[in-house]
Amino acid sequence: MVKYIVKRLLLSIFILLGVSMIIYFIIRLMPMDYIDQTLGGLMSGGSAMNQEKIDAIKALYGLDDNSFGGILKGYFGWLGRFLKGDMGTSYMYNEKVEDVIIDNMGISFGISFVSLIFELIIAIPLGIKCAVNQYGKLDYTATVVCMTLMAFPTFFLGNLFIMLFADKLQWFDPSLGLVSTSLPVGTSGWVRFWDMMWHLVLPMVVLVLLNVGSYMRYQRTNTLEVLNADYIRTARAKGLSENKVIYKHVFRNTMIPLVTVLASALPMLFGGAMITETVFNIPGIGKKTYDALMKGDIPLAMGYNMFIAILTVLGILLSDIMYAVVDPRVKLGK
Amino acid sequence: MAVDKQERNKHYISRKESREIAKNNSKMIRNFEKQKKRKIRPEEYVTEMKDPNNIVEFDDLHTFFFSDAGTVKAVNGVTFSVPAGSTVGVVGESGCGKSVTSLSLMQLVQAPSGQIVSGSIRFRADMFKLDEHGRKIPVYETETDEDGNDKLDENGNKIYKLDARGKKIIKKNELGGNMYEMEREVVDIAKMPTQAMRMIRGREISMIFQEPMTSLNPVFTIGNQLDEVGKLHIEGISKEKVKERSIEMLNLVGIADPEGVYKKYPHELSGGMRQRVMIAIALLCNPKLIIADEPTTALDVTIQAQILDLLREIKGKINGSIMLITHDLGVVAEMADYVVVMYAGKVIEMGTAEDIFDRPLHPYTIGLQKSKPTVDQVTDELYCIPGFVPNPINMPNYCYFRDRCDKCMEKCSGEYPGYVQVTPTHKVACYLYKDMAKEETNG
Amino acid sequence: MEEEIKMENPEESEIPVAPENEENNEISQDKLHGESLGDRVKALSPAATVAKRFFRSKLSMIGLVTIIVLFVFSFLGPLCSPWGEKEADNNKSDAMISGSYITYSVDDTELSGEEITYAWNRTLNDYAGISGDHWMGTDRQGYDVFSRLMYGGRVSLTIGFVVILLETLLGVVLGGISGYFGGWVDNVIMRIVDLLSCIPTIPLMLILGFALNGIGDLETSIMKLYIIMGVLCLIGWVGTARLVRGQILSLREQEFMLAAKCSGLSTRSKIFKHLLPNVIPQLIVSMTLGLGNVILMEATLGFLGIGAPLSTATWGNMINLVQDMRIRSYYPNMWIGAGVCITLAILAFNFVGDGLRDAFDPKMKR
Repeated sequence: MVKYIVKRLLLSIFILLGVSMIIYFIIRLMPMDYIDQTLGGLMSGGSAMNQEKIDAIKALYGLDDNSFGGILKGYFGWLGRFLKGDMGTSYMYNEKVEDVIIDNMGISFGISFVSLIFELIIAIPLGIKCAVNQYGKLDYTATVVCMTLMAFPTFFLGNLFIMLFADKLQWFDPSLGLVSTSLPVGTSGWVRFWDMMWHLVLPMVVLVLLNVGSYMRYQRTNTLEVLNADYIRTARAKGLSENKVIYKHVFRNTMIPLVTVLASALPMLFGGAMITETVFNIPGIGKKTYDALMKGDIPLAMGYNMFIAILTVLGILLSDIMYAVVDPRVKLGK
Repeated sequence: MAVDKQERNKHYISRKESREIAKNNSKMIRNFEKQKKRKIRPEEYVTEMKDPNNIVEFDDLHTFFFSDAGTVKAVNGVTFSVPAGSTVGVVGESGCGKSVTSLSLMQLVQAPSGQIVSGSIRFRADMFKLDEHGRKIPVYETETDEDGNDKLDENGNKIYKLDARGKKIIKKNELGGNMYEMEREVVDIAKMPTQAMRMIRGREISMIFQEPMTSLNPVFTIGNQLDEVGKLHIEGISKEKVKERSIEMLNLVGIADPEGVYKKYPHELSGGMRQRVMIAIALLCNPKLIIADEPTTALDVTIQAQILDLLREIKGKINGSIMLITHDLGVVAEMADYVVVMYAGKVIEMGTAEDIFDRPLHPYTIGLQKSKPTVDQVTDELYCIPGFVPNPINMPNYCYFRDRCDKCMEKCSGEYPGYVQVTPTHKVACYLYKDMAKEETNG
Repeated sequence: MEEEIKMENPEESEIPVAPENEENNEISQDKLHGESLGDRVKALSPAATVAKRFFRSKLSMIGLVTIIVLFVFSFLGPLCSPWGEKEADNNKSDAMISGSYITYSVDDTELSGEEITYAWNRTLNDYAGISGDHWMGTDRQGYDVFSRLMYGGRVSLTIGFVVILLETLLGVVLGGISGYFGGWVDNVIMRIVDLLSCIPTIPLMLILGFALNGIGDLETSIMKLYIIMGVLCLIGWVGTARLVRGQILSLREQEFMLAAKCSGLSTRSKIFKHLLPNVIPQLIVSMTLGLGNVILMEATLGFLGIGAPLSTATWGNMINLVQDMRIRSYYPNMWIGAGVCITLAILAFNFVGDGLRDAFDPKMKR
């Protein structure tokens, strides 16, 4: 077990190295004068960003040498600092990259986590019900509704809901964001909490609607597969009630694929739903990074991508471990 | 070319036909499913046995599968019975409906497409007596005198023992569960709603399946899967008692380290061990009938012999009956008292083991016997019955074996042959013997 | 066949109580000939089964019809439309814009103001509502929204098909090599697959979109979209490769491959006769489902404003307008159409893909 995890971790390090290399080289595609121009523009708003400073940053990231050797040198320079825990300073927020990520992760995690819980609460029982009554009325309706919801692009459904429920019906704050602009600065406690909830209902509803379909269909497929297994016939032959057959024997077996999929949802959970946050103007890590990326904030771009890549690798590792936990047949490190 | 295509298309279902099939199927299935879900009303399914010595009587059972290509008549009018305390072997090629017959007896035919359409399966069961609310009636501990007779109070009523809180104590049965008032009833399983059927499954009839490798749930321990049956059918039993019973059963089926196996997962056991566990599960509630559906097919030969020995042994111990489904004539010869030969969803010959093995009559039975390799005969080629089992969609009205039969006569194109009672125990469905039987009665 | 059997059988006459009757036998033979048990069985041919299952599923049919409608709409529609992709409506006649403003000038030390009145006929018919001329109104530039939806469909659908074809090609070749040769080749390719599947798509696209802006005139050229989608192909093949490799590995284990080997089939015919037919159904399904994804990806790029230049009509670019709060709430006619088109396209491809999967799956009973 331990040996297996160590092996996987070593492999993950190679994957992360590869990912960082690819992203770095893409960033290095940019011509230098373009960086000058955008960085100049980015920093000119108040905080003094003169050519000297730009040159200093360029030197720091090894951007000033565009020969192959220079690019390599630049990459290893970045890697060395990254390994020491220094991800650089975000141009846009003038803050350390790791601080930007950690500070804004909370709200993103909150939204994603609460949505995930709701998604599972709806999707799992519904998926099982549909599978048990395969080709029934409920099954058809749920399938059509779920597939339709799955087809909606996030930005379309999000904006549609904003237009209907915020702009037209005014149930929610049309200016979006996390808190009302009218809320006095420094308000805390329940008032602020309820105000936040008022703003977060719509994005969470959209997230749940968009994601519930895939979980439901996944659960349905798995349940159908398990329902046909010989051991389910055995369970029925024992005289168990249909409920017991489904919620003990079938459900426990569908847990195996479900848990693995959930573990791989890790990057989504911490990395923020970038488009949803952008649409609803919620200052989570996704929205913050989007703003920065659009302005060419190289350190944050590198940092965020590495953050997501690490989460992805961890998610895969976690799903392997969870697999071994829920399925007694699996022994890690065969 | 065009003719060729037409010729070929003759075998394929047209769009219109398939739509009609689908429509018909969904209608039929809906009806049958509704019937299975209805409330328990014993008067609807309690009947009488034809012969009180039997434990199960199949009477003109029809089990169909409503498939895309049409209605598959997997079991098409099967009539035979299982006498109490005996082993009945059901033999036939793959796909002849022998498994479906046994699954019908458990109401486990793959729904929704598979449904018992008509006929009846009479089973003599010990059913719980129910009060007017549909609840079981418990038997309470009573004060008894030295002779074991109930003491009566001045009004002639029984005196019940009371516990510390003044409640009546429910009597325990031999398995350690609560005792309820039972009555011996004959039920028609074909007409029973699923809810009532559950009280019979695993308690009165239990089943051992063909595939020991996949028949146990991989994510639960052996102990869990054994205890489940005990907890379900022996009401009021304590946890320790259940475990005790499970381990006792594992011991009974010849597992060397029952406590160790109790904690193991199925994948840690070999195929033979798993089949033993399946048998242990089947035995747990002392069933009256054990259905063994090809219990040894998936096992290797040495294990096969062990499992068969085990089945024979336990039959003596539990004083029940076994319905053994197999395609292996050797197994039947070794185990069975009575043999039923099935072909394409119908019983074509039945009798005692001696009848079938020493005096086979139906050409199919004869062919089956010939196709069994023997040591003392040197042959170049193994005998095989020519042709295939017909696809059971759109079965004709004449004898299904006609096209493969080497003794086919003109009469065989007539309607399906009825049974000829050759001896009191031996019946066969073939025109060859119609005249013979007549002659016998005449002469 | 039948004849032969009957010929053989009379020899086996040691069976007891078996009345032999040659004549009878022959008569019944003749009578039987028209209708044997085999003839009474009707089955479905494999291809017919797949087709039948597919066409019987209502959802797949809805999907198929939707796809056809979208194609006709995008590729034939513009031929009937009076408006071009970038043809602004300059026929607004009744919009006289007039007003006045004061210019101040400092003359020596004296400040003097002069009022200037202006008036011109503004002919650009932008932000128009739904009318007979413009079925879905016009956008900020005065372009006809309905016509642009058609032109947008061309770009979005074409890109979808091209990307999915390239992705599949790459995936089949690399997955095939990986699964077939195994060993270190397999190892290298699979590590690349692992690596690529860890790259977050949207952030990468954002960086790429930004980086490409700096090169030449890409910022204003549709080439940028093509480059980004090309990069998407370079990442997107991993799923197909995994699928093909997995299939080949599992097929290699199966008995019929051993049988093929024993009967002396060459490597090439082994692949083409046995492996490909087993993989193709799954490939078709994954391609159909993937099409929806690519269309979504293009739309996302458009929405984020990093795809084609905004003046080019693509469904994604059209929905980009929603970023403008005023358009979001007061001019839904400008963006809802594009959103509906994207959703319909994805939905249709998902329906068809799902239907195909069920149709190909031999385990599906209905």
